[in-house]
Amino acid sequence: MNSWLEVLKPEEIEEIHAASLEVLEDVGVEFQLEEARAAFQAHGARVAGSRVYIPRLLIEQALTAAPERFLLEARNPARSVWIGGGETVFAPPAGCVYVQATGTARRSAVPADYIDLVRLVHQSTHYGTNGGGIVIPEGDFGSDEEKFAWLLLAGHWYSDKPQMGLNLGAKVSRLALDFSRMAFGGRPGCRILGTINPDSPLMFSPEMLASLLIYAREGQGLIVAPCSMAIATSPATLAGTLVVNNAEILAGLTLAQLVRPGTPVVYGNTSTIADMKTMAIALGAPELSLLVLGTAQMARRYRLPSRAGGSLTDAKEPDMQAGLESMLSLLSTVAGGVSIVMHAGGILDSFLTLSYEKLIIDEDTGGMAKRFQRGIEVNRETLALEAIADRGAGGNFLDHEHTLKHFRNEIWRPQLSDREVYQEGRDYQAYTLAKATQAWQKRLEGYSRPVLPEEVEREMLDFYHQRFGSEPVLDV
Amino acid sequence: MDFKGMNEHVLKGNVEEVTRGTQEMLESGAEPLRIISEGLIPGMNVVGGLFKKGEMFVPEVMRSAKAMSAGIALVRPLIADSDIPTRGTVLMGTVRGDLHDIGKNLVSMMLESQGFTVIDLGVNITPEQFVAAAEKHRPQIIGMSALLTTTMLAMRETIKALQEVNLTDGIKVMIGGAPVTAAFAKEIGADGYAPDAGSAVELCEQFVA
Ligand code: B12
Repeated sequence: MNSWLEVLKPEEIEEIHAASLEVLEDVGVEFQLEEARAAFQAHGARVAGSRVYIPRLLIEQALTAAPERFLLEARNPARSVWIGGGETVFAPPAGCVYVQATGTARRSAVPADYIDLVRLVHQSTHYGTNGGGIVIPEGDFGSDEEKFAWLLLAGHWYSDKPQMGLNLGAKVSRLALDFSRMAFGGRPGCRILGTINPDSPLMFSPEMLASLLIYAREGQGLIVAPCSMAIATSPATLAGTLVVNNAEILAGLTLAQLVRPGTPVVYGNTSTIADMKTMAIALGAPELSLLVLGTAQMARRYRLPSRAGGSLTDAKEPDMQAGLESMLSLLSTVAGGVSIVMHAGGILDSFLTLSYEKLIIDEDTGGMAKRFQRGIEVNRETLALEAIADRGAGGNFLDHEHTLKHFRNEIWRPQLSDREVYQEGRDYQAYTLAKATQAWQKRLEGYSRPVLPEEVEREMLDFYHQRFGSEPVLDV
Repeated sequence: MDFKGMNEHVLKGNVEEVTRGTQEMLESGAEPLRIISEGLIPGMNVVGGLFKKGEMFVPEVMRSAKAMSAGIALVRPLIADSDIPTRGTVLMGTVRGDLHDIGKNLVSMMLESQGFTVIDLGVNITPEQFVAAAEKHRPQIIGMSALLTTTMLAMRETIKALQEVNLTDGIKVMIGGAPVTAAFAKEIGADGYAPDAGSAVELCEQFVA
């Protein structure tokens, strides 16, 4: 019970580790920001142009400094979650361009969608975190900066769950930290978790590095997560992809530890393959799931929390393809023991579209996966010898004490799957999907906002006003 | 080596054999233009067909394109630029603020394999850089790629910048990238939009027809 699903043997993990160190020392990593290169140079790394060649000693030191787990705090402390240490925390999608609901075609996301999505995620027991640009809406904002500020503000405004960050260069990262500082009323701790994407292979852009430095200096949480596509931006072989990705993650992690030892860094990876004909990113591919499992193992090798996987698909509708691909990826993610899972529900069309229905459907995907991972508990009590003797041959267990004691905990029940008898005249094409629609609509009706202290709300609104000269639209 | 043999080597993507064959042909006095049009391009046309049918894949197409280019590189100094057979020149780039380049690279590769000359400016290309490159290369077509909703706006600016110096008169502008739509293309005054690499080639064919 409770062992993780693994695909790499211990010696294979070491081979990948050794290969990555070789890459870091000999091929080097491109850091496109002088400040980042200077930090490496000051600690003895060789720098040539924008390439940094990172000696293994620096990597080993950084790995010792990085925490094995950390508490990602919520403004409501009861909702804080541990990242690392064995639990799997689900996070909502990020960066979706379109939304899709109630069987209609996709449309561009608007600010009202973001608010509704934060409200839905807030009430869901599936998602442990919230916010951070679940969708990037179209809307009348004075600037992109204002749009991102609004997303950050609205995340705190409508939910007291831990917040995911937004990182698109220094300005946005600073805003992310500013709003979380205000929301926490100055309480210390890790209060936001942002993602840094290397540009595979082996490159970090100036924007991402600026964001990394800003988060690290404040000791805030960082996920370093490449998203390479094997055959295009990483080698065709999954082992080779892991070598490149591992080098990228270790490079980013090392920089964060050089800047501030002890910075919480999550060992992330969202890599998969490119389709060999269309070059499209293939999230529903079995290769993605293998990389997820490999990533979780590498993270454990380094005693780091991990981020990978999700409930992922390339399907354009919450249909058969969406169902089977999402289950494969989320089951692997959970069974592999990944610590935090972004895109753990709602994703369609390779990260582009968020489906309201799938946001609910994936609560079942995740529930199933987590139940599966819990495994079979075997002990005197669960062997049920007494109950078996009691009811003997031909009896049933329906009302036995043992049943009453265990069934609710032992058996997981889906909210959507159809386990009824066949109903004449029911439209089975639409039936389960309609249940999902009802579920999210009902939840929106039942939402009530976890208000912040009045002075904090005032401070946030004033900040927004001063910065952008307008009032944030908050009750749409 | 004869033209048929060359076609085979292009199909197989054998750079060394294509190089050797081209040299051999040049030494034996073959006409440079014919080497291209009969030795190299027909091989690549077969590749294009097999790719469409799903029998060859992107890495193999690239290998063949590389083999063809190796041959063309040897022939090029012997003929005037204007005589090099091309269906048109396409200037490609990912717009300012955007680093996504896989889609753009694929479109470029497909265009090249179908006989277009592609000048790839790379990623994070400002409107000014597009204008400067357009003035320098005088392409028939400019292609812009954007994958972020925020950088899509740079496409509008780039078109404006091109219009200001009257470059859109003779040049067709096409745009693409996952969040880009035909409606957006229309809105910002682009001449065309294509959802994928295959249709990008068709679009360019229409532009130069
Ligand atoms: C791979 C990827 C990356 C890689 C890019 C690697 C590279 N070398 O390109 C990395 C990890 C570096 C990356 C970084 C980021 N990314 Co990104 N990325 C993607 C992803 C998953 C796939 C893109 C891809 O390559 N697809 C495969 C290719 C083949 O398809 P394509 O690009 O669409 O191209 C096809 C067509 O569109 C068309 N086409 C493309 N260009 C052109 C041009 C012309 C002229 C024509 C006619 C046609 C055409 O033909 C192509 C071939 O068929 C997308 C999600 C998605 N589904 O698109 C997110 C996505 C685009 N990224 C996103 C984000 C947010 C980012 C980051 C900001 C993330 C961050 N916070 O770190 C950074 C931004 C970096 C920057 N400044 O550009 C968001 C965008 C959100 C938004 N609302 O704008 C997306 C939608 C994912 C998400 N939901 O979060 N990303």
